[in-house]
Amino acid sequence: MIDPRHRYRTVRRSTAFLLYLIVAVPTLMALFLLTDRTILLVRSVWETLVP
Amino acid sequence: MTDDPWEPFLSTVRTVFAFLVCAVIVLAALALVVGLLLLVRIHLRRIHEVLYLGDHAGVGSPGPEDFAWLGYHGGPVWWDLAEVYRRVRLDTGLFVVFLYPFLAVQAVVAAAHLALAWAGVVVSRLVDAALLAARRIRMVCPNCFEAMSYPSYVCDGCGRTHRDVRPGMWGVFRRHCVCDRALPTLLLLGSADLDTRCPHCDHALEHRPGEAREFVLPLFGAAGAGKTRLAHGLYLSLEHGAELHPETLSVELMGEETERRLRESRTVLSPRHRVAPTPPGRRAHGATLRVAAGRRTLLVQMYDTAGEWFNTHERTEELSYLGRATTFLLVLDPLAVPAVWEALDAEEQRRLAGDRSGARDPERAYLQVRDQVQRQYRTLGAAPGKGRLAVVVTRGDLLAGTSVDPRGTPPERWLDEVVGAANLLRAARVDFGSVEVFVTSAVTGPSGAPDPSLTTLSRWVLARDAGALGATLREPCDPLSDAGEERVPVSAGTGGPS
Repeated sequence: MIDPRHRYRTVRRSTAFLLYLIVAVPTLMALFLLTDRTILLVRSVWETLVP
Repeated sequence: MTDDPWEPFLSTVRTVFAFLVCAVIVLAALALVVGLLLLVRIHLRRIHEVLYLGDHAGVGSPGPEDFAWLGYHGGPVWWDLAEVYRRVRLDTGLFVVFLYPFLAVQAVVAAAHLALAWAGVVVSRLVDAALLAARRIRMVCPNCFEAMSYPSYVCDGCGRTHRDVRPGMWGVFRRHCVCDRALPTLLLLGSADLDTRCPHCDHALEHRPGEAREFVLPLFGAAGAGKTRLAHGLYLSLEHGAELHPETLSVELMGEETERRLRESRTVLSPRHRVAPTPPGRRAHGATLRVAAGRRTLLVQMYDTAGEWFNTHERTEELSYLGRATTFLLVLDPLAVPAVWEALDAEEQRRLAGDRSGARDPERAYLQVRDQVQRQYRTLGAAPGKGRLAVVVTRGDLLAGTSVDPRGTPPERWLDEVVGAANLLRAARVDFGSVEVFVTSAVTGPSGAPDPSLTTLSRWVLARDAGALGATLREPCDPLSDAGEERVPVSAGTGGPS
């Protein structure tokens, strides 16, 4: 009898890899965007308040 | 130039304020980043546990009634998604709302997987059904006579019978038995290699149904008309053709039951051999022959049913194979017909008395079968009048040389004038699309070759549904030309029952 953890292994692992990508890539993009916007905001605030 | 004494102070305040605002912004951004990273890490870890490591063992376990594991698309894909969501929600509490976009993406991936798998199911089933339809393959159980949409298959690992292996929630191209043996889901993928059973009666089907066209051939007629002997004769004529030309034609008995019935055909057809009547209580069963010529193959199911089954409507009704057939053989013992018997002189009557069957009225069996065929055609929605009927007059060898010798007279005329079956022929022409009359001698010659009349009948039988096979018999394998010289004409004096 197949170890239950190995049942559907191929399709599950393929799905897992796909989800790693689908979750990780947008997260990294979100982090990049957040950092970028934060820097822009800080710079804008600083330049406005400290001419 | 104006010097504002407050200017340095204000500048310092602005700078401090700007610094504070920027610090708040940066801290908020950092909090967002850390929070997002934590949530995503939790989500990825749960995906890793459930999907990559398979830590969701109970998913898809078969119930006591199930014979196979569900395919991943048949439920487990959603159960895994639900399990990931359950674990993430336990870990993150209300913050799970921030992961909803990712969970939604996972649901979309699951839905895409389902769509792909079910599209595979639909396409593969359609392709398989289209191929069966294009090859005009219909599967009929020779035991219960029911048409099968698909046979059942036996797992070669544990012996469990899988009723419908076709693609579905248990698998697209393969299904896994509870014993974990992978089974192909379609004939296209090799399911015919497994042991096969009828899904209706669970009878073992040894002829690999679905691989070739099936041809249902009912032999009917009164008790003692010579149906069994004719069935042997038809088989032997095909086998003889295959023996003469093994490179173009092959004939194989499929299954133990068929082998038990027909393996002794050559002995049975020897002129002196008397065939025991088919027991009236014996249930009809199709003897299946696999006839192949080149790439063309035909599974011929011959039904030799005891004549008593054609006496009453109730018994004939049980023979549901009649509605699956388009070619019928009405077997007729001419000696049993009073007109023929009375036309023989006293010496001939004395000599042939032992070979005469008891049934005096061949029309009775005909009418029973005709009514049943019409009823079953109506039930199945088949076009009436598409059938072919051969009226097969047996014992041609016994009639040779007598006062009613059929040789030299066209069979139809002989049947009309000598047998007095004009009414029967008229009715048959109305009821069937095509009617032919044959006078046969189901005997072998000294060389063991079957009588040419049997080959002529076999050729006609195969002509419409398997013309190529019939042609193989006609051209190179015709015993008329190939073996005729070896045969000594069977005289009435030496002939046994045929």
